[in-house]
Amino acid sequence: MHRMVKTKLSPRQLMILASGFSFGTTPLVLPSSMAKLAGPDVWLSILFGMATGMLFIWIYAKLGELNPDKTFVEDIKLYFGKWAGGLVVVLFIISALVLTDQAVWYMGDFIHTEFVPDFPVLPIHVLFIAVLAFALWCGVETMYRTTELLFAFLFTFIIVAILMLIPNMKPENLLPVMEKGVPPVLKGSILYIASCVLPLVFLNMVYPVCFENVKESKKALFKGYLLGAFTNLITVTVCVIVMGSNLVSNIRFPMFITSKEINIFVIFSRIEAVTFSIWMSVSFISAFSYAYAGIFGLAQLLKMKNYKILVLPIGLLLAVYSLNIYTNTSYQIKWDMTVWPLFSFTLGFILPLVLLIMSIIRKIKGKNPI
Amino acid sequence: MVLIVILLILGFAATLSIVEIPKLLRTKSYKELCVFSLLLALGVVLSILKSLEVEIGNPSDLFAWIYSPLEDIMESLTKKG
Repeated sequence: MHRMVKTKLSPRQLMILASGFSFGTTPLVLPSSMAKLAGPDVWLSILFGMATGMLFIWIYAKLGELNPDKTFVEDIKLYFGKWAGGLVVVLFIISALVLTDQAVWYMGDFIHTEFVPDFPVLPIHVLFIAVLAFALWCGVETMYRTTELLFAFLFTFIIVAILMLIPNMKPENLLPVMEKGVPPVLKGSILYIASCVLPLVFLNMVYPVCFENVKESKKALFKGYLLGAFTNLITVTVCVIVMGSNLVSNIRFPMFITSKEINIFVIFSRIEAVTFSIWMSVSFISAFSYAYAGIFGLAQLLKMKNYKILVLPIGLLLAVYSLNIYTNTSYQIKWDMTVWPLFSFTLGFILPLVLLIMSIIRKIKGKNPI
Repeated sequence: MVLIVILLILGFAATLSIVEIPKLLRTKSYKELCVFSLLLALGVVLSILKSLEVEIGNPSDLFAWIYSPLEDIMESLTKKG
């Protein structure tokens, strides 16, 4: 196998990447569907999801630790053999590209709904994909260094926005706690795990191979995950505290509408564009990670020397399908509720678990040959 | 409008080929050349079909179809109440 990966990242970058990725493509839409299921108990759902999520992150970290010089795609090819492995890898690549396109679609849908309803969506998609292709062409190292730079701004923005919302908070919105018992909380955490924890499996395309010190980067993965989850917890809870779970569950972009509530001394008002820029950067990070996993995976499947040649043709395909990927909003809501949890469970839990078990067996056999 | 879009797509593909293919030929990376031209051809054909408003299918439907046997369980799991 060719060693295409010569890039080295720092554990700090992995932490930032994992936190951005876990904050995810969906924080703008997620509070709404979670509040629909869990009511005022969303924060409990997220806490529960966070705790359960540690198990999944442990699986990814352990898998990387046991195969320190292989990406996820190479793991699949190694343990499943040429044909079965190839089939699984193809599905993995398709799903990575589908997820990239979904991130693009969310983006276009949001701009179309909230900012420029008269402007056609396609140019927005094409611009986003053009920047994405440029980032992919520059490579992982460049992109994740940029992420490091962005991180400081984004985090400050989030903290400032939350501080400015304090006058609007009504803590009684969080009551009653667990009015309908445990099931609604668990239902909410299914959605949380599906959209904020399980996609982190795509990080296994960069996680063990791009780092010199696997131990350090393992720690960084956990730190980043927890940081992202806490950010999620805080933003979703703030949405519910400010607006109340009923209102949150009935609007499409709760985080955006909540930041419209900011109004301090008349000067600091209408800063929702800041929220939008936070969300756009974060979803760009996610879209990049998905697209990189897909394109790099394809290059590794075909044993190519360089993945960069594939970037623009796949960019064209992404642009074509970006309009089709969700037919409309109701299709998106249904798909995200009924297909995505199962799909992400297969991809982010069953597949890595099988690989982990196989690599443990291989390690034991390797140590004491029978 | 449709004509302009198609011309733009063809222009993009032509520029890309003119820039990339000589490089690939020079380094004798024929596998890369194959994959590149296949993907580009696929992209061009699909985008022309799309701009002519032909139905080109949807990968999300593929996954929805794979998981359709479990759809009812999921629906009851993600229903309010």
